[in-house]
Amino acid sequence: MTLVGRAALLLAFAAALYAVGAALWSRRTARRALLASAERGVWAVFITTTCAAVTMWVLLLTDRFDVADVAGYSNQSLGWRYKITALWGSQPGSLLLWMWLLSIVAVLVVVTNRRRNRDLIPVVIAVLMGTAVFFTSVLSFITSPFATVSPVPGDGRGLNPLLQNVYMESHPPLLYIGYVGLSVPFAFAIAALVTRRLDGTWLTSVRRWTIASWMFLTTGIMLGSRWAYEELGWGGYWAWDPVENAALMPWLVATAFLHSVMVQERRGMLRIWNMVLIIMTFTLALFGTFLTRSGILSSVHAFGESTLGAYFLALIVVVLGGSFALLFTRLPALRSRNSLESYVSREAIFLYNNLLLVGLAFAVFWGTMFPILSEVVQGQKITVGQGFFNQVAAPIGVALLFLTGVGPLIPWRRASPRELRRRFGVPLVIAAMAMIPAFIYGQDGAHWWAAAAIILGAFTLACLLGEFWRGMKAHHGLGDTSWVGSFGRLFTRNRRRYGGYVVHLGVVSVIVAIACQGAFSTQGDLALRTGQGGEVAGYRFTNEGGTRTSDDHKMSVAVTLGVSDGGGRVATLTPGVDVFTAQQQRSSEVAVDTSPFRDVYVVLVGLTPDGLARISVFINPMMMWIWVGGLIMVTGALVAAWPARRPRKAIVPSATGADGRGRE
Amino acid sequence: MRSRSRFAIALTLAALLGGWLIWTSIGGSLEAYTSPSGLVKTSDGTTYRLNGKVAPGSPGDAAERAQSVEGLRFVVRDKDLASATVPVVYRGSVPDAFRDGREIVVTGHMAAGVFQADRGTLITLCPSKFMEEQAAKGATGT
Repeated sequence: MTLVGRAALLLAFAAALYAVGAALWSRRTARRALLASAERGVWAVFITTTCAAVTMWVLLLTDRFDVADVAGYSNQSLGWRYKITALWGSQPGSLLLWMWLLSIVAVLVVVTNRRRNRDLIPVVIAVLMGTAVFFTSVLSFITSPFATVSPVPGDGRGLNPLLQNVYMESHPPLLYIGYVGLSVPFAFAIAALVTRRLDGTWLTSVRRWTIASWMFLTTGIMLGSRWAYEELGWGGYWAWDPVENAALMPWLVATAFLHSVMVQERRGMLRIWNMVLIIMTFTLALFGTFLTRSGILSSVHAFGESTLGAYFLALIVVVLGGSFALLFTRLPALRSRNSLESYVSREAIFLYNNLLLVGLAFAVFWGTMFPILSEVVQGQKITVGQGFFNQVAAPIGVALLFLTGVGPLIPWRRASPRELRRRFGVPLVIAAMAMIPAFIYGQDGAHWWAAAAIILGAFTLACLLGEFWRGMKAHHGLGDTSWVGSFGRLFTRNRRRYGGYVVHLGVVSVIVAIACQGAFSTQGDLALRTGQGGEVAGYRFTNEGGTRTSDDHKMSVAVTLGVSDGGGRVATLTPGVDVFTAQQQRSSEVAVDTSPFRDVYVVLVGLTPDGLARISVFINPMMMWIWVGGLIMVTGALVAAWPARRPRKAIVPSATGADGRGRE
Repeated sequence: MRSRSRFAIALTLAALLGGWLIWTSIGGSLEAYTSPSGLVKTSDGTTYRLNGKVAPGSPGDAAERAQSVEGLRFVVRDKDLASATVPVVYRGSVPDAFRDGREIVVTGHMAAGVFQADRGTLITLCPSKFMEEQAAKGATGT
């Protein structure tokens, strides 16, 4: 079995190598047959990699403990679902997952571009398969998922209980889909540079790829923080850990790219900038893997340290150096034809948005890498606390929130004062109204950023809803559609624009919720005997008795708590602790009561035999809206990325209008 | 051309503002990373991030003790050098993965030969593998 897997990976390596060569050679000789052969090479890579992945899954499901990764991350009593997810528990396994996703993406690119972008495709294939060569060679020669152990253990070590939940089942693959998806816009950008076809064609072709990858990245990050919130039991969801930063940085730059692309489509500006952004996005995605896999930074998640770091670093250097050298030689052709006409215009707002997002990404990078830099410069490893990240992120987040509302309302080129008054009148009044409670409750000044976020949140919400309203009114005025019908028509007619606005609504929800949770959450520790009660932030917790159970896998203790506020009983919470016998690992089962205004989050710290329960209580205001906002963002992105409904034959092969959905 | 130079000025201003923001923010939150052996020499009030392994003999009810008035007392040793140790007092939440042999990071300062940890700063570097645990068990045995 392991031989099948190894052989499949070696074949994939060979096929990828061949595809790169054939694709590049087909450009030189202009032989179409050779390009077709390169495309078949992509298919071969897909088939062989799938074969390797399936083999790995079969090994996991059949408990083949002679395989190191099966023995290390699975055991007999593990449920089949976790046996499948154990694939990305191990390092080689997660690289195999990455490679498999890359092969799927490459095949999708080949299939969807059979009649489009024919002059770009050879280079696109070469870039994607070049990446595949790297991953397959690492998987074949450096860290094989099919490595065996001897003597063969009787049972595996099992999957870390912290990873046994639905979030860890879905979070890594979704994040990886996002990372891998971003290699497509990168490949097209490189292809455009190589072939000197620097008009907007490559951008239009990868628009949907970018939005879709962004959507997966967003989902992955959201699920990751949800996992931290529900499983780690410290009442928070984000700690600016290097691993979290590694996922956030490409997301920030990809978000900047999604916006500045529109400036290029519409006004032909920022063409160099867009190239830089997409190169940075892809590099940061690789860098994220490097950070988590190299062990150069200590992280809460510390994956097994390995020698892989050097290989990833080499890849990053090659990608960065190659891309920027290429970009440099093409600079004259990329000069912008237009220039900024006004500092109050849509393109200017996009520029500010870009500066903020990239600035934040840089600050996060700086903070993450500071220990390494300081060790090199001063010889002492100095870390940057969470305080730094929060201090930088708060003003930038608030400024971004403001632009989220302002951007869509400001016209291209330049805005006349009259128009501005007309569009911003109502939102300004609403923001002023939101200021009143903010001033009453925010007296102490400590919650300055939260107050700003709430006021701007109200403002932005009004801006966005106004934009929906204007659009609906226009549709309603045009014909006899109902109001509901005109709302739906917004999305069918101009999917990307209104999908984008939905994403913005989600952003408002997330940023305001983050600000409220950060500023107003309270924490308290209680020690309660059975029948006793204690109070945290106006909530009374009564110990209604504990339970102890144990089975083959684990020993569980739990305590039932009655929660009441001034108005009576609100909830019954049962936080517990499981101790897994196989690994002697503790796992807190937190209990959360969610309502639109706050989460009551309780962790059981310990339960003595005589019934004394020690609990930690967190009251997190507005917490729910982080997840709701995330869901709204993903929904909006899905709307924006969804293929437009139009007959197939209407597709024009000449690229520009190929998937020409509504323009901004 | 005028707009171009204005643009350059605006961009420079933005960069300066961003640089200033980073500079001021980073000042207050710098913590030197150190190991128990690096810590023994100093006893000033500087804040450190102590990185090491939990030495054998940490209490089994760590989480509960950390919530009591006296706090959780345990010993941290160097990752590679078992003889370099420092006692730690800590209060606040204790990660599930805390126990003998586990690598931890905790923020605090030295006072009277004891590392006074800041509340709630204890994190464990939890390996997704259980190999290290086997090694830790071996180390405990010897």
